[in-house]
Amino acid sequence: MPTEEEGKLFEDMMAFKEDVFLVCLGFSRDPSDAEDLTQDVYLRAYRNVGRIHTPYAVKEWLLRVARNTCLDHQKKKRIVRMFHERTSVSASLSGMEAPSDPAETNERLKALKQAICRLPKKLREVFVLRLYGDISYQELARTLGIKEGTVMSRLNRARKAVADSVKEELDGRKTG
Amino acid sequence: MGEKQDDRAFEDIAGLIREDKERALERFRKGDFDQKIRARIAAVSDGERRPLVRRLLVPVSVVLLFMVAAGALLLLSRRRTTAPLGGPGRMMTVLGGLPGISELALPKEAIPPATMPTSGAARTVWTVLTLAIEQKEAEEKKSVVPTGPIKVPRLSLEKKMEILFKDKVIERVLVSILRKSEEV
Repeated sequence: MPTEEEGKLFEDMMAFKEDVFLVCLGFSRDPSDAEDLTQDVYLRAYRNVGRIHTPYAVKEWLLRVARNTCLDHQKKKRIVRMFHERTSVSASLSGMEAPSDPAETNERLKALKQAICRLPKKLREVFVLRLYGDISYQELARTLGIKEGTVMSRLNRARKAVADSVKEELDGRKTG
Repeated sequence: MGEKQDDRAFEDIAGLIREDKERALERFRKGDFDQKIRARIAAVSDGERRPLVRRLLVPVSVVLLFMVAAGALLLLSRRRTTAPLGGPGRMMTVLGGLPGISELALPKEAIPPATMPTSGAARTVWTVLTLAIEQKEAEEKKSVVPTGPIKVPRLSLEKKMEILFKDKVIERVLVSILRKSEEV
């Protein structure tokens, strides 16, 4: 049971709920999964709020919790996803399809999600945290416990891999 | 040329991600996340809020168990020393002073060694008790008056005369009764 001070700290954390949600979205590929994961992150944060020693680093700590929660979730779902990868992607995207959206955008989004999923773990976490969480290089380095230079190189490799993968996927569909 | 293509591809991806984020955020904002998470935390907290006794039951039991185990190990590992005042010998003296046991003679090899306890004091008690039980059984079977030294109080001459007189009186009475019964 958190103390009054910890409760206040938890309230401060609620200000970052959209950042956490976006990070979860980047990892999960599905908005409803991302929302469930965000809830899990906040539940975990509520239980472990007493472990924060430096209140100014709340966002970094929270994003680290989010990243760990998402990776744990992915680990659990890895086997199931191997078999249902295609159906889950199409199902998730069909759920978020708005009537005004062109079909082409959905195709590209689908390709993007698949490309992110194919990235190795180290590249994927940097890519998602940077592009979905809008985290600076410095924050990213602190969150992941790596050097800024490593963050940049990983991000570059991730971007290139995603761009190639999306291009291949879309070209394949057009020709196929 | 290649760099420009890469930049365009990155921009394209960044645009896609922006779109993905906007869509998802729109949906996220519609759902009342704050209320949902508070309800979930409340549900979890209710589950965790158990009475103090129930919360302490497991740790206290574990601590007690460890203490008992540690005590047992300590006793087992401790070197056995002879008790002060002779240990088993002292025990034998005390038991020997008890009425009924003092008259028993303790044969050394009365019980097979395999069945006897190894501890000195326990062995003595066990021997004495076994012997007492055996003797009682023997008495019941044979109805023999127990042998052994019986302490007889010393009597004065007058007392002895009195007893003899009473004895003779009883004898005469019994003899006269016997004669009368024969006559009848």
